[in-house]
Amino acid sequence: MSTVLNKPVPVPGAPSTSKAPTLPGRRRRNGAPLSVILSISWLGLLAAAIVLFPLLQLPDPTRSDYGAIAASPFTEGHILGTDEIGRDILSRLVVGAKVSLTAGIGAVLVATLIGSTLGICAGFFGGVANRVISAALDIMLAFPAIVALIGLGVFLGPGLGTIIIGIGIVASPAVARVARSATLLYVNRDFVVAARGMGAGSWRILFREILPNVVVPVIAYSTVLIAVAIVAEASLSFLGLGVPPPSSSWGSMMGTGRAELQHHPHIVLVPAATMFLTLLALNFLAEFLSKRFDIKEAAL
Amino acid sequence: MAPKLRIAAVRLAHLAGVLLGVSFLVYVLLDLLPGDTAEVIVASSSNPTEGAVEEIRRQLGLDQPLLVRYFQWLGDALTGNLGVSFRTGQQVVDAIGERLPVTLELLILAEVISLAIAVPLAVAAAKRRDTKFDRGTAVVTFGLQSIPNFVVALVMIVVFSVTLGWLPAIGYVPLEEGLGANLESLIIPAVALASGLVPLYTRVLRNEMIRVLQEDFILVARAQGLTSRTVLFRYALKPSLPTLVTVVGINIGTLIGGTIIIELICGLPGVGTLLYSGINNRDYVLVQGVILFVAAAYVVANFLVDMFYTFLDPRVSA
Repeated sequence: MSTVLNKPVPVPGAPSTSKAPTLPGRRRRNGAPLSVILSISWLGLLAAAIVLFPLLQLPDPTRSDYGAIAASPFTEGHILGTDEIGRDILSRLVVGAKVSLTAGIGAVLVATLIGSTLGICAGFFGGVANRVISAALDIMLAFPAIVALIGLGVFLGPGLGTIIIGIGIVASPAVARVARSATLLYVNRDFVVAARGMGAGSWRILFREILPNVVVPVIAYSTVLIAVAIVAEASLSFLGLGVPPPSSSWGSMMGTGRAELQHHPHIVLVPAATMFLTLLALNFLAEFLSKRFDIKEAAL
Repeated sequence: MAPKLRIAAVRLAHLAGVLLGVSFLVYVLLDLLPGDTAEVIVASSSNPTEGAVEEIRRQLGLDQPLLVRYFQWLGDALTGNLGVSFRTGQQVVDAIGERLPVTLELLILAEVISLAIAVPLAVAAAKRRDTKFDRGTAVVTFGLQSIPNFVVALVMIVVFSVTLGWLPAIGYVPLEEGLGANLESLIIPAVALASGLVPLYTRVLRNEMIRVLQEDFILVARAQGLTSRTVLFRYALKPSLPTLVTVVGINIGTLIGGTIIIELICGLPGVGTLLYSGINNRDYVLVQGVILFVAAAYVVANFLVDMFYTFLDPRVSA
């Protein structure tokens, strides 16, 4: 497996147009670039804040401080200020981080599970399976994502579980495409033919030969999807269709703060900035991973 | 049949299949939702009477089996009849027709803005590959990619409407009331939508141009002593465009669905807000119609892009 990770073998017959020129000097450097280290630090900080929340002695995220309604950042007792009904923004950010990250990661797990199963089956079995799965994916892609999410929200009732399943389903066709094209690269390779020649059954080949190779690009792609899923969750919560109050998410903080945009923009801007840093960190990480594992954007 | 026409025919059949699948999915999904249309109508009427639900159910044909109703709806839809919204009593087709120009104008404006920024940026970055400029562009587009478009809209409203007072915060001014006012009301939403597209377009076109610039015919053109401007724009840009067009096409569809939140923030009476209010009012006839329309627009846009590709690419030989 480690040889697969380190040097991708050129595949005869693979579409040559998809080969994006690599940037010399950026790839060959030893260790991770600064941007990646900073990204991991930021995500680590968020994770630590979520886990250590009970120990941080922050104000209760659901209690209003009536002495300090919509207080600006750096007010005493409220480092990042309070929102429109006097709740501490910093502690709400940490609670929101938990919701946003859980939704993002959970949805991507669901999407990866559904998507890679469909994609690998389509690529490996070909023929009718490929055609049926491809048609189903095309239909799902043509269905406006946010509509599907809103519909599912109405159907399953609001909540974190609904959001995770909904975003996971909506995002799965994208994963399926990656998994399918990765499977197609390996399905006729010598080691697969050899395994078949030695009498290995379809399932054994699928799990022992194909899956370990397909997992790598799928995981790298999933990192991109986490950022997308976090935005999707924020959009839903912004519209008031996310996790029900008093729980908060970055999206719902911006959604309710929108009314105060004119006089107290910090209620919207602080969660917006937090979300920006998180998405930036995830995007840097995804970029690093896909360069490392030689994922070709155009091949998707 | 000529190969290109055969490809077109196959794609057309595929398109019809996808649309059929989407329509069925829409119909069944909304049918499964809690809240019977007939009950909603009765509950919202002024004097609900005994047996009124049954009566309306019969009137609307809701007592028929699911498949029968689906094919009836589909048949009507094919003849351009998407039913009547029971909230407003308006024909769904008319409601869409009323809202469509706003969304269409917004989308065109967003595409124009993003291409006007992305194309020069990508060409310049490809030309100065691996320089500070190229890396700087990569970092800026990367940052931009990390801001959700509705956040861009909110920040722009804070800066340009609230603080500076240059632009209206919300609302839409129709084209008939003057082009200037019309464009002013669309700048914030269009730029917000474009902010998500610029990074994507820039990266795709830059990578494609760098690939093309390594081809032999570029070397020949350079050896002939053509200026670098001519080589870049005449020789390298043109063969790089089909890839960009594909990405633009794919994203037109995603944009149509994604305008909902931007239209809501900026108070635009477009298709997105129509859909949103339909969902909130449980106006399922309206929602079914709008989703079918949006999905059709997405599929048709992708078909056109495919055909553009097929008919322009000399490698798909006749």
